[in-house]
Amino acid sequence: MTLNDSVRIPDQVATRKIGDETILLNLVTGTYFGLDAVGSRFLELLEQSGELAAAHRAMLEEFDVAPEVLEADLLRLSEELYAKGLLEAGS
Amino acid sequence: MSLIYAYRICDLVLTSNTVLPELAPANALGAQCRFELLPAGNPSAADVDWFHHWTIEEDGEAEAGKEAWLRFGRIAGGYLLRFLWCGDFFVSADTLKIHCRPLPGTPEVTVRHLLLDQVIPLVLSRRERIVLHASAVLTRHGVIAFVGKSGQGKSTLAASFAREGCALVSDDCLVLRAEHGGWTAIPSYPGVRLWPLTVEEVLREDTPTGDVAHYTIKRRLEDTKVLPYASGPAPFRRLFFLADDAVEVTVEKLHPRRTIMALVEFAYNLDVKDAVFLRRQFDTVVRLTEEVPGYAIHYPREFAELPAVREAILRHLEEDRDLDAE
Repeated sequence: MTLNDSVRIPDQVATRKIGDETILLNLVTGTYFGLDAVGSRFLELLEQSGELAAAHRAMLEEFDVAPEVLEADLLRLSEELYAKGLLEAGS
Repeated sequence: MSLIYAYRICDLVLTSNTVLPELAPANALGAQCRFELLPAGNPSAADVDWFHHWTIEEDGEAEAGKEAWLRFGRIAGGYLLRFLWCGDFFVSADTLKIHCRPLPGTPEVTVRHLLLDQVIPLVLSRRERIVLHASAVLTRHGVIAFVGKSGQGKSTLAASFAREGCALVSDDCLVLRAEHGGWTAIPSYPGVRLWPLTVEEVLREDTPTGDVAHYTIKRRLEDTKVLPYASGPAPFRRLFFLADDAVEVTVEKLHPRRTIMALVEFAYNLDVKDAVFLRRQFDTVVRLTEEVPGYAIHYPREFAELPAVREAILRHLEEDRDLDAE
């Protein structure tokens, strides 16, 4: 996975925002996953654009973090969500 | 033609072709579910789509091996629950009928335990808003629940509170309903299941008890004079998740995300592959978490420390200003 990838939240995934955090549920596998405030913001940006690069750019402006550190964190989280069926390749 | 008995469990009126002495009698006219104990026999040869299982490690109650001790399958017209070494329970898709065909040699006490403490909670998970693996007691601030894995001390803690006058609401199957602008806890049925040492330490060595099942040394204690039992539904106030053993008693408020993840883990669910049900349960858990706070309680797992644990929980409730507002 790279920042050039497009992703989307599959139709079979339900999300609920609790305060500044988010819970995702894969309705097919029954898998639950919790995201902290930073992860929730990332998901919010993905829902808006579907572009990892766009989410990366936006978060660089919002958080005090080095680009390469943020990129590694976002890709790791994306791969984890992908593996659990909570994210899929976008068009 | 055979006699039909009627009982109440978690507000469900159940008719049965066999006596269920653990339950309070009810009027059969209001029956919502029918249980039938069939003659012992070999496992069903029906075409089964197995879709889920519980392992012995998750249950913690069985002592032999680490096989799947309960397998969940779909069959024509409903579900098949196969208990290792004990037998099959058939639950109709509409949860109106439960049939049990025990394996030859399975004692009736074991069948009753599986019915009351495993199958009925799963059946209720389809009929109620939410059913938790939790013990619960009624305090003067309302009902509080102790949620945790088997072996973490749910029943011990509940029995300890009950011994001091807080009526038992549930031993391991807590039904919660959203009503009257809040949440209500529905009493399950009288009694707790305790290890013999717990009976000795928390109650008295000569406290009368009965068998739970042939495969466990746990004892069933159902004398409401020894452990008072809640007379009816009561407002539900707090969730306490039993955390790991600790040197001191501490109560830590959980972030809603952690509460939701924990609740999902401890909610009964007959069909974990039913997307419509999962979405409904997800919404229920989120709502419950928004309205009832969850806390982790860390405490020493020593019988001698139980009074201190009780005191810490009651003090926490006393000092919780949100409770006053409710």
